[in-house]
Amino acid sequence: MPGVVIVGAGQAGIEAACVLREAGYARSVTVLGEERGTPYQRPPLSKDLSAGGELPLLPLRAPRALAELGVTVIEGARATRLLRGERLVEYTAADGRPHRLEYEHLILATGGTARGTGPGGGQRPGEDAAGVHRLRTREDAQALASALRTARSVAVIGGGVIGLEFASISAAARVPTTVLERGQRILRRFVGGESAAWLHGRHEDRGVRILRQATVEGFERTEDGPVAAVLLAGGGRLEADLVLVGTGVTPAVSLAADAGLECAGGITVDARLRTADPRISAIGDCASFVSPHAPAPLRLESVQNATDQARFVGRALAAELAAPADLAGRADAAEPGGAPAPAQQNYVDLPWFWSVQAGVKVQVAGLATDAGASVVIGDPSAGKFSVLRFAGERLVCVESIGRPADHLAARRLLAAGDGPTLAEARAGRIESLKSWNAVVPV
Amino acid sequence: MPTITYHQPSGERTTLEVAEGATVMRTAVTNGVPGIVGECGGQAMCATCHVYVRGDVALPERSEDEDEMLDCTSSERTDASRLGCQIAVGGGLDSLEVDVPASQV
Repeated sequence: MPGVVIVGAGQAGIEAACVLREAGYARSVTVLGEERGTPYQRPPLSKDLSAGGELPLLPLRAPRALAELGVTVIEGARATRLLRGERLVEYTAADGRPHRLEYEHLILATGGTARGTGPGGGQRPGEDAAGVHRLRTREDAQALASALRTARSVAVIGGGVIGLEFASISAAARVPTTVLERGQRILRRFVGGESAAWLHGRHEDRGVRILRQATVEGFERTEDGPVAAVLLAGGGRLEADLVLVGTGVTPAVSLAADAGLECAGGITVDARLRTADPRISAIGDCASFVSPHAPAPLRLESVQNATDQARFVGRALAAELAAPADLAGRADAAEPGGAPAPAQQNYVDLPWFWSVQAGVKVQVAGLATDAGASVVIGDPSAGKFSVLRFAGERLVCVESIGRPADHLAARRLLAAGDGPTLAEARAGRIESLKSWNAVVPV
Repeated sequence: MPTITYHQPSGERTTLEVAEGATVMRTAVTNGVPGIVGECGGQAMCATCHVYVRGDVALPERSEDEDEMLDCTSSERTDASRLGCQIAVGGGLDSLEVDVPASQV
């Protein structure tokens, strides 16, 4: 009897494999990982990187722990094709040989690749020069840490989370650092305007130069090949011998798309994280899913999203695939007019995020947007505040800087659909979300 | 070398020799000690590396981050509760013994 095959050995894939086992799934669990070596955690790669220091590598689970759970990880295996009718996935092994694996359920946790600076995430002329880096994998982090040791000036393309985390590190290493942001402000996908403006000032205070509305047009190379400068629209030129392209992630959808599965900004899944093929799920960075916390389908790149989706799918599959006969029997036995069969639950977990940059920890519960009203609590001048964001009267997102208690209270409140209304927040008596939680009856 | 000893709820005990500065979480995850997850990579964001420290050892005070996270642990918080990513051996602390809780998630 074939088991579950998981394509992708990142945070989502490995977590799903372990949860399947921990939830009692008894048939084989096989993870195909494209990279070689023990599957590892990504957050430390950008958050704990230092010039010339030891690479902050941390396994997702130790190989021994995976073996004891009965999870098989095939390293260096690139999935090449899905044959949905036969429930087969084809892959090329590390030695270049083709293989096939049969599945009873397939989980796509394929993640994504670093986007380039060009249209559609492609590369502009010169972007392949030595000295132009990306930060996605262990090898990327290794190369970046080693380049930072000798860098004279750093240009970061993209004022997003990865770019600004690295800019913080390079500025702290006393390397002149400039961030080139294409839009009107930094961190558009992470926090709203107030937090972004505060962080912008804080980065500049710590020696990071940020240029907004800066569109990259290409790269200038030195005679012997490495990058010498970033060329900007309008004729600008920024000298840099180390460039980090932090312009986001292109989800890895080709395996699904080639097999005829719908992909729109990610592999399209329903509220239970299934594709249109009920035997195929998609989770983590590659999945475009629906959420009660968002007005439209969304795709998130975060640890929370990867682990919570992995747990949801792992537990659901372990229950569903364990004893289909029992489940069918139970449904048949339901009496007319009796309690309806329990509705299949949807994935509803609250998105949350964090970043370490400019010497502070930024924590976000919910999805930040500039659309609605906002109320600031705490003291921005002391670097300890939270921004409460509302859709109408309803609290939908809390961004916290130096206020971990607010963040954790916000996670609980937002997950429960609770929290102060806009009117209550505007009345100005909320000192912290934690105490609000304690005094207001639900 | 400093050592960290992990006591499982089952009574099983694992003692590991580690480098100066090794944290309880990193050592456990790297060596496959069961019951310690550390899914945020040691950022005091997930409370999945909760441990109970044995004995009266001189550890740095809990940061506000750690203190708040400890209110969100899966197993009950006690006076001995710490996040494994925030405590390390070394610097005069040659050995550390911790109890691993029954659940982390």
